[in-house]
Amino acid sequence: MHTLYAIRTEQLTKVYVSRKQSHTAVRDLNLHIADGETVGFLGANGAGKTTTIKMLLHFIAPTRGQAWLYGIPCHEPRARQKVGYMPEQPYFARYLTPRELLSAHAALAGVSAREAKHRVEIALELARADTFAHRPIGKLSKGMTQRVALAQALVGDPQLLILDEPASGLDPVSRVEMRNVLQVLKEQGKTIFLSSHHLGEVELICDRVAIIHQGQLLAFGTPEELTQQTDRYVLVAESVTPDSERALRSLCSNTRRDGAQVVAVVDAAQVYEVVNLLRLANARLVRLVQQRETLEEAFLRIVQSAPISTPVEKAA
Amino acid sequence: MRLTVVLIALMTLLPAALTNGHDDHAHHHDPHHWENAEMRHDLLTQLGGMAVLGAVAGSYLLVRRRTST
Amino acid sequence: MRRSLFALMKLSFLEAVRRQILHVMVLLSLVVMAIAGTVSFFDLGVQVKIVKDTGMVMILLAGSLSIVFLLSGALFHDVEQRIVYPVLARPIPRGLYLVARYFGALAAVYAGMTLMAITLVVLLWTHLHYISGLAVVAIAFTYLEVALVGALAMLLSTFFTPAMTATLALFLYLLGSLKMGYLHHLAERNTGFAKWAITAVSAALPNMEAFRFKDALVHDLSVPAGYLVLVAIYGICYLATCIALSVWNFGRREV
Repeated sequence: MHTLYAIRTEQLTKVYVSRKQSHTAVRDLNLHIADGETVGFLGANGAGKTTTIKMLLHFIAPTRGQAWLYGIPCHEPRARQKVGYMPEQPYFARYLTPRELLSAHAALAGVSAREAKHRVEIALELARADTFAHRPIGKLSKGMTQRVALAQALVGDPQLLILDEPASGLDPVSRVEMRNVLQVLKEQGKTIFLSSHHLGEVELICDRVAIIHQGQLLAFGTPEELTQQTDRYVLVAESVTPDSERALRSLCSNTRRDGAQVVAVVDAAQVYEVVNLLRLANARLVRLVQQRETLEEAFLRIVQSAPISTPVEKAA
Repeated sequence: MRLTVVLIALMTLLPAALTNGHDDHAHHHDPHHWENAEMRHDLLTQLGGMAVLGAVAGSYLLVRRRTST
Repeated sequence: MRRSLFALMKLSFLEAVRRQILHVMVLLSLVVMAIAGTVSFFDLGVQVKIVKDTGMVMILLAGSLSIVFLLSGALFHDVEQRIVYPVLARPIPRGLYLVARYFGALAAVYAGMTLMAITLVVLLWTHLHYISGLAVVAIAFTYLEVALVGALAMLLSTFFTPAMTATLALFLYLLGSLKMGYLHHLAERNTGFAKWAITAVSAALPNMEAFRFKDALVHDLSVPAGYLVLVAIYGICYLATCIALSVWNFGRREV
């Protein structure tokens, strides 16, 4: 059966050509994102994340390949009918209030005049921007402006949200709030395409993760698929005497006490030695599991093991 | 800086705007532009040019739409 | 689509109407018009001519300069500041943004020009106790001329930086004003490539002089209705061509 993807790209490529050299920002990108999925789009600065988003929204035309949003080619305006977009470091006309801005965007999103006011209030509330909706945007802090940008993206009640670094420059509290909003949207069944540097956040909310490096897609899968088992084990034990704990600390680099339990990270080569130590001290072994990489570790491993390509070439 | 630009622009445009009409003296020599056949000819020529441009652009768009569907 | 257009026009209007350049131009013009209308050095006939002359020149100058300065940097600023992105991510054709930007700014300039036009009418009424129909016609064509200059500036702004756009727009405006009186004679006096080049430039330039009926107003001369219709059609067609070319160029541009 033919699947209608929220986002689909086939061999999507963007080459910037200047007088002296050409630079391949995105190379043969194939993405298939189903409706309702939350996908994290990871990459270092200049990896091609924003260029990909710009092609999806047809701000720039691809050099080669094609992209579709809900089956409609991206170059057609109606492809953006179901899209809400939040740009990286959003900037709006300073004299407008968030409410005025959102009213205009509701009209642009095709929301009827009767429904617009209601939608504006819902979006403001959801993005937690309702308390300062009457103040000029020029007088808002960066965090507040980010929330206005999110509200702007939400005002048309889009099915697909394309968010470019939504937590960039936010303080930890605002970042958690932003994550909570995204979680709510995910539970509502929205498709979220999230470009981010904050790998921990991506790991927490995304169903799948795409890793792009020097314009090429290196990996695309669930966090479980991308992260590997390490040669480290996490050990949890109870009834550990102070002497045994000292011995444990000398063997394991990362040992801490968590209430009545002792938690330690053990290298595979020392597992038997540590278990033997605990057995002799009559401690109780609660758990011993092989440790998985964090997404950050997996990201670094994948990016560092990628073949070195030359995105900058001399123009013909 | 901006004001300087405005003032320079004002000084450039002012003489043009003021002299481009016909003062009492000039009235005896040249006809007003609404009486000038050359002016009508120029307007009609440009209108013709725009019509041709419009027709070419329209045909191109029509052909492109037909070939893309 | 109409709602989208009006929503964007409103944003453009609100931005333009807050710009200092517009306030300065309108205020300056009103002061000059007030001085011309109240300080009397001459007899009534000459005074009225001065009021008409100054009023028309000031409306045209303030309107033209304001629209050029408002539109020459608008697009560049929107793209540089990324204001354009959330708008272009909406299901609207890109050209709509440009058209709305143009008409929004034009509406703000027209608001200022209307203030000046009302001042002129009031001054004329004070002196003459009647308003000739020609005053309305002359003012209406000034509005059209300003719209045309704005469309030219908009077109240039899709190619060039703000400073370059403003300079070029004013230069072309000036050349367009001198087209019949200067360029045509210059073409006649030259031969070969120079003649061809001057004729080509002249053929593309808007004929700005055609919109000016100040002399008819000042000297109470009649203008044939057919000619007015021809100029109106010419102005609207030229303006539409400029907008169409702007939309085409902005549409193929990467933002």
